Amino acid sequence: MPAKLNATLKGAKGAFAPPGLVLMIAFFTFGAFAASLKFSLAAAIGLTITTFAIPSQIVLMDELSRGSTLLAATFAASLTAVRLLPLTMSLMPVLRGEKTKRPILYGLSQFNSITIWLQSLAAFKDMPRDQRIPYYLSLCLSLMMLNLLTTTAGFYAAHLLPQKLLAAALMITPVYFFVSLFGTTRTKADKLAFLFGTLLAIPLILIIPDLALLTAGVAGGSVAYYFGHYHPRRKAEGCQKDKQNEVPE
Amino acid sequence: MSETIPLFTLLLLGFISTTPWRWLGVYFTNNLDETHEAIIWARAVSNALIAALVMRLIFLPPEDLGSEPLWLRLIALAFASLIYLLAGRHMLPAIAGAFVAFLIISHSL
Repeated sequence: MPAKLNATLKGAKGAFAPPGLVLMIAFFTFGAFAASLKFSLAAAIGLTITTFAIPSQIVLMDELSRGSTLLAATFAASLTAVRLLPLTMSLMPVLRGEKTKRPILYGLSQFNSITIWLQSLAAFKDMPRDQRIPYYLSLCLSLMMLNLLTTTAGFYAAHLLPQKLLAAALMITPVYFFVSLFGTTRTKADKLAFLFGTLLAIPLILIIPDLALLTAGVAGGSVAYYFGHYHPRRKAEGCQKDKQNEVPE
Repeated sequence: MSETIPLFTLLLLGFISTTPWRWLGVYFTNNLDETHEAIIWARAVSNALIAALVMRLIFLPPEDLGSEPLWLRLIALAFASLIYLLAGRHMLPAIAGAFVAFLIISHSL
């Protein structure tokens, strides 16, 4: 029991490690963003609770405030969140204890996001299995509670800050997304997706502002997948076949 | 527009755009390889979409961010990336640096 209690305390402490601090800044700017787009405080806090993934929250509010349909806004927000699938897939096997039941994993997955994933994987390296769920749950709940506060603070700050300071605070959102993409893309397909998404978006935003996100995302991502993953792999397989054919001669 | 969407609807949309991916992640644990083609494609789309979102916030910003010129937003983005690379890939100095630079330049305009 003391070991589990210790893990719980460590989880709460983990919320204040650099990834957690960055997340708090990001949720603060999300709160300011929501206020600046004339959403209510309840909407900002509620979205943090039900969604807990800043890119999706920003896309949803940004799309809706531009007058997109509910379907288009949800579709765009959903596509930004696909990253949660592989993140969850890689977290669950190291998170679960030997006797952990599936329904519990579904519940635990509700909080997963890139920050929690990063922080948990780092902490799990030298942590016995039975302490991992207490650590994770404590980390998630701490970050959730803290970010309800930062969302609220950001929301009120938007009304109080002078215009230039507010603009600088809102600028943190694109900076945060841009630099995290920059930092977390490892594979060639992901790097190309970042590049193509950026380059395609600029003309598309000017031509079809409402559909720019979806078209740049789907087209840019698909082309990146083709040139970054599918095509090189096929080529490599082709070379191997050629070599195999050459062997008998 | 923002006032016309019922609160409950908004919160539900937030939930259904994220939670199914988390649940699918649990469902596929041990059943599907993370290197599955569909997952690699989906991750590329998701990355491209977030990159496009950044560009829309820069080129077509919400009113309160758009009070400062476009070139300043581009400078802040470039400056953050530069600090990120120079400061050993840490996010905190990159964000802080871009924030301060944006503030100083916008005040001296």
